[in-house]
Amino acid sequence: MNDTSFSERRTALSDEDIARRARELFTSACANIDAHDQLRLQRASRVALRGGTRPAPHAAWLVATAGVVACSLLVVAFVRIRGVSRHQAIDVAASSAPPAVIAATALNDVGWVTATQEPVVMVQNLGFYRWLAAQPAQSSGPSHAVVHE
Amino acid sequence: MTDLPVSPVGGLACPDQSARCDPERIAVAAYAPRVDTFLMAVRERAWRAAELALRDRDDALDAVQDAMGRLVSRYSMRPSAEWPALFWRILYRGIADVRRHRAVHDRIFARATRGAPQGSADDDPVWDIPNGDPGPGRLLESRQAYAALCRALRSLPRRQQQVFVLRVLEELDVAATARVMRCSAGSVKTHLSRALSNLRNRLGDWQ
Repeated sequence: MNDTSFSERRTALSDEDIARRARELFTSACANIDAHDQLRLQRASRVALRGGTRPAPHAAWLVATAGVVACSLLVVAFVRIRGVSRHQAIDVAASSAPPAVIAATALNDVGWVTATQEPVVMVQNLGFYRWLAAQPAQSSGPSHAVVHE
Repeated sequence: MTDLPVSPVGGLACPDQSARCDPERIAVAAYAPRVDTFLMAVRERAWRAAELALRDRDDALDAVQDAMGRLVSRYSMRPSAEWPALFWRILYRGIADVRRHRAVHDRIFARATRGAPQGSADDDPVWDIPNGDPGPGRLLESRQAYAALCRALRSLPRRQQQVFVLRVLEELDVAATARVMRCSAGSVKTHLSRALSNLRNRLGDWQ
């Protein structure tokens, strides 16, 4: 039993063995970097000492997203500005027109505002209704009298 | 940089001693050679550790360059005793950023090649031409042992791998490791104990 535990102790790796061997291998691996990677590391440390840092990998995404948002805002602003300027042009044109045109425009506006066509027809026939109201009942009276006679 | 005179503190002084010399620049320049020395001493080890964590040489180089740049630009005024912990903390934060970026990329483009949990033979770190030639048999044996160690380390949970690199390979003390990992000293010891236990099980008769 004692021999077995002794042999197990001999074969099993202790923490110190693992640490020592790993340290040796890691140090050797660091010392045996090939010339290409060694040069790249030297260049990287020179760049770092000059104060240059590599842009973050997500910086490109941030820049692209900011660009898209900026373009969208520009398009929206352009459309809104064009709409406002068109309304202003219509107002300016209307204010510089002759009075008759202004009245017609106002009538058109009234007609556009009114919901149905019937009140407009009544306005157009207003002269007829005035004439009809001015006519007394004389015209209808004699005809009845003639019939009774 | 070679034509600048050496300052009394061991760094570089302003060449023309005029008012154009910013005191902050002078102070940074005074620290520059020592930062340079520190980076020269740590860059290969940092690159190997980053390669171990990321399985990609280019990503490892980018992470190391970022960490070196941030250390120089932000922390070169700190006492040099704080540099190792600061550097490794910056480096592991960069490694975590790369891993996060890869996870998002893989989720979007359904790429599973880089995130395979078990390393293949292609993932083994390349053991390059040695400086002092120990012979091909010995070299091959060492290369295989290092590849086995890398595979076992990559199979560990992230925190255990990190604490093994910092405590065993870089030989940082418990307090510095705890500062790098942003955890308590007790957690460092627990992670290290579990890492060694897992490595012992995985490596078997590794020599």
